[in-house]
Amino acid sequence: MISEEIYKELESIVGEKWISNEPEMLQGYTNIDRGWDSAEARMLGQNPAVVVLPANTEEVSEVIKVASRNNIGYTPVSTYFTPSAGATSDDCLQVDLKRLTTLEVDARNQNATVGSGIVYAQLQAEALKHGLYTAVPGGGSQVGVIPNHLCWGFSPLTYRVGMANRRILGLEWILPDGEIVRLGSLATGSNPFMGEGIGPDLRGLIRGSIGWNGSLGIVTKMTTKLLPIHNQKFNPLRIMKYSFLHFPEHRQRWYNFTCPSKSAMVEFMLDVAHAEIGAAMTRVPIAWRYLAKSTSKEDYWDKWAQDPDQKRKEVTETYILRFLLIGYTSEKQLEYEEKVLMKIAAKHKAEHRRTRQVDGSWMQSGDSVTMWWLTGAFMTVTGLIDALDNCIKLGEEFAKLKAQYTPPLMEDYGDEGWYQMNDMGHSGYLEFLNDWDPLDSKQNLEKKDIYFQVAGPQLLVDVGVHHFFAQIVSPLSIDNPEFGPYYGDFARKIKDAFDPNYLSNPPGFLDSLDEVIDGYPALKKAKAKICK
Amino acid sequence: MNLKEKLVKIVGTKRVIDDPAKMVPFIKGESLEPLKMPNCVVSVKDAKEAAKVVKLANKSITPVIPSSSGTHARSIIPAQGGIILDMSKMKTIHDIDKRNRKVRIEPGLTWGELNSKLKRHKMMVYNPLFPRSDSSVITTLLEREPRLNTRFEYGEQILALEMIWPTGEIFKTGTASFKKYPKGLGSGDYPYGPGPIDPLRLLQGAQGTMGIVTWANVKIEHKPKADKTFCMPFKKFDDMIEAIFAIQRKRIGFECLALDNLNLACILAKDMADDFERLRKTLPPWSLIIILTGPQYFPEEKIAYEEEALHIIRNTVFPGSKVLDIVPGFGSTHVLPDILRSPWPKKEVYWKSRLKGACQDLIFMTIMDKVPEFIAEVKKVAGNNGVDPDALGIYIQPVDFASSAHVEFNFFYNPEDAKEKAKVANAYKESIEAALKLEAHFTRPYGKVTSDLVYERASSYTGMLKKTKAALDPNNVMNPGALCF
Amino acid sequence: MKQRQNLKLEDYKWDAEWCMGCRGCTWVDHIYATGIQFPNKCPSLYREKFDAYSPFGKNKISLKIMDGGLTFTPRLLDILYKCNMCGACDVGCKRNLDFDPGMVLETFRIRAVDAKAGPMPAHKAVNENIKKKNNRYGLPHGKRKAWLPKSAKVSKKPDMLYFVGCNTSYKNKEIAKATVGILDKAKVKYNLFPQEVCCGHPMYDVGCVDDALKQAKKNIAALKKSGADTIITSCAECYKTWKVDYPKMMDKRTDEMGYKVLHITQLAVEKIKDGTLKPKHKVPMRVTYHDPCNLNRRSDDWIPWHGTRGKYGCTEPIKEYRRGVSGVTTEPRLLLGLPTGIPGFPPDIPGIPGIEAKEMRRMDVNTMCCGAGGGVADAFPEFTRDTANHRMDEADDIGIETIVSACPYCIDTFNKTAKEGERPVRAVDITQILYKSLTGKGGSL
Repeated sequence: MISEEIYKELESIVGEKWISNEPEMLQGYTNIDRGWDSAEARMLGQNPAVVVLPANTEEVSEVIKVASRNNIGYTPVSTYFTPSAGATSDDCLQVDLKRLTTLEVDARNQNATVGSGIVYAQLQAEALKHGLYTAVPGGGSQVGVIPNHLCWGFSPLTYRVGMANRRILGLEWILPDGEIVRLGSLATGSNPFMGEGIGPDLRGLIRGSIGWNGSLGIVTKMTTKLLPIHNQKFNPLRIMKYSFLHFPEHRQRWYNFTCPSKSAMVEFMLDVAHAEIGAAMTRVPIAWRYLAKSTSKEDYWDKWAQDPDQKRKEVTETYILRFLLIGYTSEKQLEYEEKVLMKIAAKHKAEHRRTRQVDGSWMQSGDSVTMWWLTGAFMTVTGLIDALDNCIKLGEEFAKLKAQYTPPLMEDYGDEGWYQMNDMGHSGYLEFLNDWDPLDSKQNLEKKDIYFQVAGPQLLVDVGVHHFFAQIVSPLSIDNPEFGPYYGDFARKIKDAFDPNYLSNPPGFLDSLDEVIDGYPALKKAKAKICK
Repeated sequence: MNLKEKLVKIVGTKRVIDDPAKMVPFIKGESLEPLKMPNCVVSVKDAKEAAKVVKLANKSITPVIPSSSGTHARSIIPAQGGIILDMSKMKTIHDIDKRNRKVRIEPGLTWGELNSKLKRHKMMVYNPLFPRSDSSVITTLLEREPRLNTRFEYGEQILALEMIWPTGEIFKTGTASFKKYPKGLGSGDYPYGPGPIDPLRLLQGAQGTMGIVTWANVKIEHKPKADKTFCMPFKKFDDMIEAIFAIQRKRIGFECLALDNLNLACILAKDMADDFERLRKTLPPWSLIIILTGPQYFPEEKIAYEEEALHIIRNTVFPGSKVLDIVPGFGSTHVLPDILRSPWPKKEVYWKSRLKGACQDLIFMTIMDKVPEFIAEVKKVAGNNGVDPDALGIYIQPVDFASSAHVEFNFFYNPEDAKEKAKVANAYKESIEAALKLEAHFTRPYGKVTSDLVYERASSYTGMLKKTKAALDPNNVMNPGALCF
Repeated sequence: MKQRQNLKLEDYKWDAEWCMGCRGCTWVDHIYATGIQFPNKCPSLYREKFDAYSPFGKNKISLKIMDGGLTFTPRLLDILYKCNMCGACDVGCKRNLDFDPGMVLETFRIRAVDAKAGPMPAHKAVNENIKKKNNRYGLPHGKRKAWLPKSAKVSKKPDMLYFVGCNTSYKNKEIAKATVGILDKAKVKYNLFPQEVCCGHPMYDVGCVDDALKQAKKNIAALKKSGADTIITSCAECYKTWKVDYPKMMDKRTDEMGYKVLHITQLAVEKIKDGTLKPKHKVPMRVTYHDPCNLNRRSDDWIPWHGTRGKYGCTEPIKEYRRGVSGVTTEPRLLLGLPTGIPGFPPDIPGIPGIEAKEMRRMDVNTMCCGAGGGVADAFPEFTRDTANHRMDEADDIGIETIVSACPYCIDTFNKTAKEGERPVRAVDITQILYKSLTGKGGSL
């Protein structure tokens, strides 16, 4: 319980204006009706008891110290894009970080320091002014730079710029008890240019394959690496659905190809990576092409639902690859890379397609919310970063599984997921996307939940691969002897050491997922049936 | 049963050594600190044996100090005695996966061994400046020794790995984190996790205090099909900074490094008598070396556009210097790629030992603009301690497009000259203090002198490290006494 | 006549319920993001910070009102009325999705009024003025046309009526004078309403839809009687009310209303193109253009939708979405010589000579409200002041001290705030600049 006395104490830290326990104000932070239709949000979502908006690291620290001293659970939120940022108990303190809006670019040393309230659109816009760039992630340019670096952070641009967690340099971290710790070069100095630790690197506690989703304290300031790009201008053009950035075409261009077969597509991607060219490469799922051409949800369905047999053929037999080449060094680099790309394309009999030299989704405006456009509900069931061949195979397996759950999942005619090249071709990437009707029958929504929370994660066990989203949506991997083994045990050792009372975003995703399954009869039953 | 008997039960009699004389080679390296003996050395052949040793160490509260290839630049100092866990027999290359550009190797495998194997496949591992031929590849990479290659932003070279936690559990990370690995759909190309913690980060720079790596997937790359190497002479390092920034921001070249004439002479001299002196005098005070490379397709064309861009930068940013295809006093640069992409030849005295027999490295990270300040300060401190400032070797490695700089001062000394050793020890210690005042970032604070000084200044980081260590190694058996533990 | 159809909060429950909180409603379109400065376009969230004040927060609160979990407390009314109804959220959301957050806000206010909780006392006073004196200020109705120059060439058989609006009639009379000057020069057959009454915008925007509807009926009847079929406005609020709110309250499409609404800048551009108007006098000024919300993103034609939602929320019959893209944003820019389309594509009319115009970072559909809209200027003047100052900071940031706009309320707000804060910024209406260029008259601007 947050007593009046504790409320007053919190108020003395942030000021009267920046704290509230009025029900109307708390409803603005509800985690109950979030439009996400996830079992987790449905079962655990709550309104917080009090919300505070601290202004800086020191205030956050003081607030957390009060919470810690009084055994009060707290939930950090910056840009509030995922349900895990919301309250999962009705007596918790919501710490809204949107007032932490500092952003400083150190152009000379190619990094930027951001506060928790800064989003990618801002960071990228500032970076580009200095001939530097970052990767706006699939999560979108509306997501917070800090939480995304801490939790995921993937984009086609990571082919060249690496995963977000590799770009984390110095940072300020409020531990679950309120203590401020500074990592990287901030541990002994004032310049955050470096992320590596003094000896062991404690960034290893704050982010693994995923992050803690707020359940191991709060990062209030982070320095992130920026990478050099040309210093040409991207012109914004048109408005609304049709707004886009026009590339400086002499330095940056898209190239689209239709490949004759899946194997040709795979070899094409690998060859390009081995040739050490390119800034991004991705397969374009057919549904996305329809999406790009639709003027409304209804328009999309009008096109997508027609002629299922033809659609199935189109989805399963069309392989469109999209490459981004950048002349980082000069125009001649672009000419060189284009020449190499065309030679490889010819080798694989890939047909060059026309495409506009504009971008609306990766350089500055990641628009993940479009994924909700089709049906009103969206979630990624799994993802894999590993050898491209493995990504392809996992996509095939998930397509088979998905067929068993369609409907209620949206008919996508056997699409095998979104895949692309990562890490300069050292790995590929698969993300398996799913839409459904959030207003479907209870029975159908249960079936959908079984797919996400039980059947999908179990498939990973069956095919022998551990990967990222499974552990966010289901406890089946966390405490599974197959993975790690028992990697949850080691994560819990850290949680126990730094947050013994489990106050940081309680119950924390290590355990909240158990609560979801154990409290949900349909999932519990499915778990008993499906899991060995 | 005493400890030795229990160890013998795990690995057999021949692989447990407790004769001090026989143990010396396992711990001896260059060091200003006195040697200290372990209780015994245990050679293991696989992860299972190593895990059993660690579990036994936990039961008997005995320190375990992992040792990979058995060759140490610095001595291993078992501060509290214990077991040296020797993995030099673990040399297997499990897999060379050219398609996904990685190898899976064990910690005993050396640079010399791996390079000769990869050569046949025309592949390479991006290397730091002259790893010793017989030093462990995995350890070098865990140590975060900076690559000469500054260009690929995807950074880390170690992918998924197998490790032993300090409590003795065998564990796999990333996409290798599956019991039946490598049978399954995960091939270990993704290094992070599983879950919200990242063992790889904790193992880096940890000196074996956080666990033991028993194999790792490591990135490999194609050997370039063509190279063109340039040497840019500068009188002072200060004059070189703008050139480095401009070149790196334009992403020109593969390997790029800056050496003073002393270090470059130590590397290139045919002998340390006449040729060394001649070369040192002929070489410019500072040389910026850059290698342009051509990959699989149209290699010459790539080199051509980069060379053109390099000359434009030279004309606009550093017109006072030259872009040479020779190293003054040495000759053509065309031999440099092969030299710089190889470990230091086993049969030759290591380059840092050529001048006086031994060397103490002062290594830290900073930003490029601060390097001149450090050079001035360390030279001053050296002079104050009776060490000739001009006898310090300096190596500056731009990291990640010059967003930071690895700074290395090499204090050369005669290991047999106690007086000189003492002077160097003092100069070294005071240099650390001076560098810390200038906010040097010590990512590898090895040796008691360094770790004491550095950790003292990082109280909350140190506290957190200790808490982490206590959580993962409750009995503090993994290399206690090292770093801040 | 069907009235008040689709103006219940429940009609937009789906839109409130399935908002997933992406915050597209509050950020400037990311394509146009310019960095650390000026990233927001929702004045409420920018100032108040608590999510409850954001459009997505209000969505969630509206659900609780619908299910009876919350009532209209003073705090809730503060949340509801500290909103400029500027439409930023609506266009932001519709960049990627098909929700109607703007209508959630409008019907939420209607709900508050129906529950006798809203509007705010200051709004009630304005409404009373309108009811008693036909203008929002409570000034004598008889003086509404006192500004009209005798020289104005009004027609007895007009094709179009100039709807002057309360502010322009009583406060910014120079705009009215400039407008009739432009109409004279354009040689169109125009007149004024014989007995113009407030358009009802102050009533509709605060949720008093019944009162607003009465104003609509009076004005539409007067228009019909005049025989004209076109309304000319120089006020953005009047423009939007005639074009959007009248049909909305009457459940008709804009194009079924039997009249056409033009902003004076639209007519001017048309007449420059056909050679009737010739802005030849130089007006040497360095300016920026501020898009009035009601002339811009809030003024798409109204298109009623009656239907059901099926699978995936798809509408039957198919709903035509108003994405805020057909407002009057091009014509003022053409007059000021600002780029309007694809770079390198030359404007098809010469701009006003002598004008040097520069865009602020937030423009067109991404504009930031001046702070006056939605009844905020009446009920929360300090909020208006803060927002106006913020917008003037943006002009300051590009080194401009003169803001040109096309709405008397924006002009008033900037000038009043600048004066209070002793800032060197001033605001000028675009009609005054055009009039000066056409005639060389109009005094010093």
